[in-house]
Amino acid sequence: MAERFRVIGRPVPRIDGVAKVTGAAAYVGDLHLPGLQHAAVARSAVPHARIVSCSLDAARAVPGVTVVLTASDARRHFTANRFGPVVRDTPVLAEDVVRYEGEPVALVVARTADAARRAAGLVDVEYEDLPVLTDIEAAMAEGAPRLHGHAEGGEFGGAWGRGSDPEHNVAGQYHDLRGDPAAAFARVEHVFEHTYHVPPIQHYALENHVVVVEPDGPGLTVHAANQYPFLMARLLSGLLGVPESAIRVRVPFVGGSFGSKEYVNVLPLAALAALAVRAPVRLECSMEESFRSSSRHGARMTFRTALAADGRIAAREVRLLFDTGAYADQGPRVVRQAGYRSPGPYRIPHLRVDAWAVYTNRVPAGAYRGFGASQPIMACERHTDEIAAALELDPVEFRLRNLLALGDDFVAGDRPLDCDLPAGLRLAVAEMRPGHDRPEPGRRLHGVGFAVGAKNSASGRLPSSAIVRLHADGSATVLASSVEIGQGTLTMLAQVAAEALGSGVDRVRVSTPDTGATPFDQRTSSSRSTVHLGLAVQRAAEDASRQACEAAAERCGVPAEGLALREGIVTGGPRPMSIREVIDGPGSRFGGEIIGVGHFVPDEPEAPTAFGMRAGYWEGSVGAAAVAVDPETGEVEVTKLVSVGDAGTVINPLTAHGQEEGGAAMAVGHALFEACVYEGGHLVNPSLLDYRLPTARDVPAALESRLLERGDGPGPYGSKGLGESAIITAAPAIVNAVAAAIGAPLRELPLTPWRVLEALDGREHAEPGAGRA
Amino acid sequence: MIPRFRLHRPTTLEEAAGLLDAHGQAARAYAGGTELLLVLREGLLEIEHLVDLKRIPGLSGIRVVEDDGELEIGALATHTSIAESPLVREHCPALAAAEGVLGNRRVRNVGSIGGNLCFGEPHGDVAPVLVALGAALLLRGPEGLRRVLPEDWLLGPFEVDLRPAEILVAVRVPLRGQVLAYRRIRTLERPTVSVAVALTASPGTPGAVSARVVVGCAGPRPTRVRAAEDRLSATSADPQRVDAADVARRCGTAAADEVDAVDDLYGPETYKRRLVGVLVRRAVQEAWTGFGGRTMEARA
Ligand SMILES: Cc1cc2nc3c(=O)[nH]c(=O)nc-3n(C[C@H](O)[C@H](O)[C@H](O)COP(=O)(O)OP(=O)(O)OC[C@H]3O[C@@H](n4cnc5c(N)ncnc54)[C@H](O)[C@@H]3O)c2cc1C
Repeated sequence: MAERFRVIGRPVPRIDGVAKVTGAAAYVGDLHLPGLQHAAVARSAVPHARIVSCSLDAARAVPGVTVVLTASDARRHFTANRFGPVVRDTPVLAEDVVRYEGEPVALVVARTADAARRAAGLVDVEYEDLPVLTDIEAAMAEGAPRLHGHAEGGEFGGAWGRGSDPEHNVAGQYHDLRGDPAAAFARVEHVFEHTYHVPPIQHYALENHVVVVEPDGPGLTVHAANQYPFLMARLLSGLLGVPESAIRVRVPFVGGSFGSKEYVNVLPLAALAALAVRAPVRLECSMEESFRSSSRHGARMTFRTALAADGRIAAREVRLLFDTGAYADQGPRVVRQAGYRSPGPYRIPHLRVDAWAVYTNRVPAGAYRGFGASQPIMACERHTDEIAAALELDPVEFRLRNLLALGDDFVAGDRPLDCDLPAGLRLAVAEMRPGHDRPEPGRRLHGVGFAVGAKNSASGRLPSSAIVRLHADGSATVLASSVEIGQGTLTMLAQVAAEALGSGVDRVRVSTPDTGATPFDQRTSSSRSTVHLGLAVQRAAEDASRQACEAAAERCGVPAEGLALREGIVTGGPRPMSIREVIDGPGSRFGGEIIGVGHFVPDEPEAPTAFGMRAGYWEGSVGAAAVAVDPETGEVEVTKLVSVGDAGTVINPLTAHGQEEGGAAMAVGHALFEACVYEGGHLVNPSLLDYRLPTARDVPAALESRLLERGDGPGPYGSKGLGESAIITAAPAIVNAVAAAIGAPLRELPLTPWRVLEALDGREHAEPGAGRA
Repeated sequence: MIPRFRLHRPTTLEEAAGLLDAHGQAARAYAGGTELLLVLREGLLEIEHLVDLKRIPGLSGIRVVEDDGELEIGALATHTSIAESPLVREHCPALAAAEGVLGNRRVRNVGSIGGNLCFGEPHGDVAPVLVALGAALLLRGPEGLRRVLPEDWLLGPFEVDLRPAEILVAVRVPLRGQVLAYRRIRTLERPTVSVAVALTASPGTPGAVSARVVVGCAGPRPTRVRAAEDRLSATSADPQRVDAADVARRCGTAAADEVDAVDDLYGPETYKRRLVGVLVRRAVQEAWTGFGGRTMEARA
């Protein structure tokens, strides 16, 4: 495939790589401004309480403290002390009630970070405890204490906000009914029902939340580690009541995000601090504060499936309860996506899905790499293996019998599946053939597991624009607003621009986002940058190239058709002409450089489905895992992990495989270790000493990534995105492998050794033959 | 962020003790800092003076004290230096092995055995091994030198018998040809349960074994499992006459019944108890096999 292209498909090293490994790369935390002050947040020590009083005297008395702010200051400086992406239910600083442990109550600004932190610890709040909601079902029950009243819609409002039902502590919901599932269930012989639990987990980006805000005329200049620069500019312009042009959000390199740095409270907090002291202010959170800022939804998921005699799925019912924590954040969006994807990429004639995002007194849950795909795929793929085991079917065969093929409708009206899952599954099976994983004699139990998933990525109206400035020497600057969160977006955009300009990647420089200078991009999310911003950059580069060729053709009096730009020279005409000549020649209409503009606007953002939005493309994924389990201690070792992604065209094999391998490695934590542990609303493990992340020793040496390429993606040069593909199936593949190894079902994550032992014990008591997998 | 403190760098033990004495509660000894700096950053301790022990000569050496028949490991010796020490490998290979897998490489390269013991974290690898080996701690305080057994040293979680202005100077391990087996399970950062079993030929009684079976991490402090020890001591040391697997199994069961375990993030009490049984069984089996090999060698 790569031969058709000059730079697309080549293993171009990351253009930000050297700066990052040598420490030269500048992050927000590296920014030093004259007169910089430091903010620190005083946070609620209790999960749910009325604020009886709040004494700031001791905090104000700390030397170096310039101001201590509370809700009333937020009301004074902002149009409202409220924000929120889907519903505006979140106070910048708590008003009279706190709803989770760690909620910002007061904000200290001081001349040193040390003084700010010390003073924040001295803010003295008296609380009157309120009943704590920690269980999702209990929170939805009639008569449960209500955490919120009605709130207005936020930036995402509209369809996303539908379904807010504060009466029942519901932040958002999604329902779908296709065909007549009740009748179908009544007709068949085999009905299976299982309930699965996944805990809330933490993103754990290496760089904590950090933002520097400078007052700038009527508005602000904001330096933020954030995936949503334009939405943040819009949010702050609303809060300040100033034009969007008065807010400038710049995003330098970001030290990892995984969805944690989207709609975060640190931006309004730091903005408030800067407005109050009329000086630049930095707000930098600790890791523990990051734990208390956002999380991935814990969920309880029930799957019920009716199976026809021929092993085909006749009907399915899905019920999802997502714990969205104390504020809606992006929970309503996550749960709609989760509901839509939950049935899995299978042929299901009759379907019912009910999904809710439920308020509890926990850290708000929002976006996390996979955005509502990981949880239901975990449940769906475990359920699939459990059905196969009960019927003594081979789990791969059972999947192949029911999988949607390339070109099939996931739901009529959405973009048909543009990923080949059966081919991916067969490839994964080949990779796992016996002999590929090392069989080991001894007491450990061995198992292999598979999982399949499809995520409708880049759905809905997500426009992007880009500008390519072609300089006189033939080099180019790309102005684009994709956030480099470590995924390699700058390198990818440079390759796309270089390909379209016929130049080398080293001749192209790509900007980082600056809403005051670089053009609009909806946001860096949903594995969309390659497809959407990539297209905008390709079009902008082609626009610049076309202008150069046309001007050269005009100059030589020949038609532009045969002309092309190569290495900064227009060739194919009577004589080669440099860009400098094109720009500086007589009658030139270029002001020193050629400016190409490109836009991406989806043709059909809407779809006549319950979800209502059309996928930009389908991120198809197959995961396969081999594990060894010690039946006496419950320890699990992942001995091999394979991910198969569906890339369309691989733009850069280094970064593409890097995304896949990184996603699979991250998922080891989801399967085996990670959980935010709560005791009565208190988060008890907000640090790496107690929150277990996968490390190098947990990732198998046999970590393989395979990518299918058909050149049929909607992105530049037939590409698709793949930032989230491996992560959504690697975890269920591991869990399925463990279940296969121990011959017992597993329905609760993570697979701690004691859960594995409990499952093994259960098997000993069960009927012979049950739970075979 | 670590609050401000003053760093003192004494070059003699007397000077260090003087500083600790002068500043009392506001001062702490500082070795590798792998625990101390975390605790300061979390705001769990308010300390104004750190007394760095690393410039005091002689605190990190490892040597054999022939007169006492003991191996001496300086309190400032890092985990890596112990793991790699030819003397420790020769006289106490299982201790070297345990030190070589503790924590992670950064912690092993910087953290000291003394810091590990003085911090008193219940989930530690070192203390159970030392209890099994019959080791002792040497402390230097205003009243002079003091010898403390590791089983008396740990009073509870994060609580040790360290008196004001006292400094741990060394660990002493008796050299009496012990066979040690060390097993642990680790799924979080530190061990969930660890088991050390040491077997020594009983002096004077040919064919008899003296045994120590120590369980660490399951409860607040390492504990010796007397039932298992008694069973082993009552067993003939002649490998020909003993079914090692059977002895090991019985010891495991006894330990699982006897030991104190607590619920925490590392797992529920029942799980730890179960692990104790498995690990004691495995460690006894390993130690017995090693011990039997040795007695057979001696006979040949
Ligand atoms: C991430 C991580 C993982 C770890 N994993 C493990 C593990 O798996 N198993 C395990 O056993 N341990 C583990 N540890 C603990 C590790 O062994 C200790 O952190 C280390 O040995 C402490 O030594 P230090 O020199 O850094 O002590 P410091 O941090 O300098 O001191 C610790 C405490 O001891 C006091 N102190 C230090 N030396 C003396 C002395 N000579 N006299 C008197 N007081 C003294 C200090 O005042 C302080 O209170 C882990 C630690 C970390 C941070």
